[in-house]
Amino acid sequence: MAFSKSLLLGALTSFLGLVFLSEMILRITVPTGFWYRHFDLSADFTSLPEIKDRLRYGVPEGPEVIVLGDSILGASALMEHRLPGARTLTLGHALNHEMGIKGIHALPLGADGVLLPDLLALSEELLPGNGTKTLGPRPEKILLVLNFRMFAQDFASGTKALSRDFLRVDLPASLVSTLGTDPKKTDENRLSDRLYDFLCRRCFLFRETQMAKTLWYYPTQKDFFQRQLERVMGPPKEDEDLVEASLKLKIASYYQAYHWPPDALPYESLGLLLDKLKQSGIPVEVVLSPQNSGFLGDYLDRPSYEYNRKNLKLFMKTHGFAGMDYQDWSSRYEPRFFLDHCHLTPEGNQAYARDLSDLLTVKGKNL
Amino acid sequence: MNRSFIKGLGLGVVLFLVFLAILLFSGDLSASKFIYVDF
Repeated sequence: MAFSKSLLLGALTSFLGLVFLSEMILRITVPTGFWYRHFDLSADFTSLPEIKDRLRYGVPEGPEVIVLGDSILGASALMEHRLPGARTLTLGHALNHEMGIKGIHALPLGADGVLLPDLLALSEELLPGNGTKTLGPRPEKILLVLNFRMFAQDFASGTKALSRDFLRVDLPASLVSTLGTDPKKTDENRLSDRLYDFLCRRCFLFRETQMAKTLWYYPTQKDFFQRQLERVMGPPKEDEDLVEASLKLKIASYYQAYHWPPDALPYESLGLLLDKLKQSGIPVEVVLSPQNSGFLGDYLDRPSYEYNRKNLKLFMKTHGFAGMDYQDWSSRYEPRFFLDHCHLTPEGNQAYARDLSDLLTVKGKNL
Repeated sequence: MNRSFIKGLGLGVVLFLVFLAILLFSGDLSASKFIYVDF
């Protein structure tokens, strides 16, 4: 093909025309909630503008309940256990179903690895400024699902205390200085971060395609390729005991002999988060998510486990306010309802969703 | 409108689809979108 001037002009015209057209289509359809209605884009947080979009348009009718939490709400663990249709078996999905029966819309805002500074930043997005007004429709209730790992020593200080770097802008300066900066981050990393943020902010096509990627690259890109490989080669002949042992090693530190320090980042963030929610005047339900102490065996330091539960209850009592309720559900379900240390089976998620739905509604009907 | 311009329009469509595929299937541009993610 000879590259004449008119051929290049034609290529440029249609290419730019299609980019412009898709950008316009997305700018019109995103605010209608079209993409959120038709696709489960709740798997991850890809950018700050995405979170803003979700708060504004995630539930077009306006969510009555906003759920803040971590991977407990999502499909990662279910997918790791190769459960078909994992996205329809999540706690978030089950809760939406349970609440939907009562005519209540819930917006689950959870993602893998979310920690308390992340939740504080999310609350700043939801309740910008002095916290009396909300970004998007005002919910009638907020459900905050806490998990044991959020308070672990691994995440008590330094950059690991925040799981999403782009949420840093929503944190108070004092907390940002405590977090510090990642020494491993190069100038090239910083430049690519800025470019990514800029594109997500300015270009709907870029932002939405990054969100769409989580439909297949989930929990990670590597998992996607592994799944494709397993389709051809069959499931790997992994020793289940070995997989379980490796997971136990990974999570052992969450349950070790360690008293959650009241001045560490998790408690500090939780205190600030509760203050923020108090200012909003929106009723808040806080739940310490169920744990599977049976899974942990000797890895669990029982005295610390009980001490931390007791202290968290005390902390919630001290920081409590009218309209806030705290429930410790860490020993609510039997081990058979769990996939691992804290993620529940599909049946477990259904039971958990039913219980949360009853907790959120008065006499099982109204919020 | 001459033939090569129309061919160019077709080429532009192909280029757009390639661009879309890159956006949808490439790795993450952000180096530190997630500092630490676990389950």
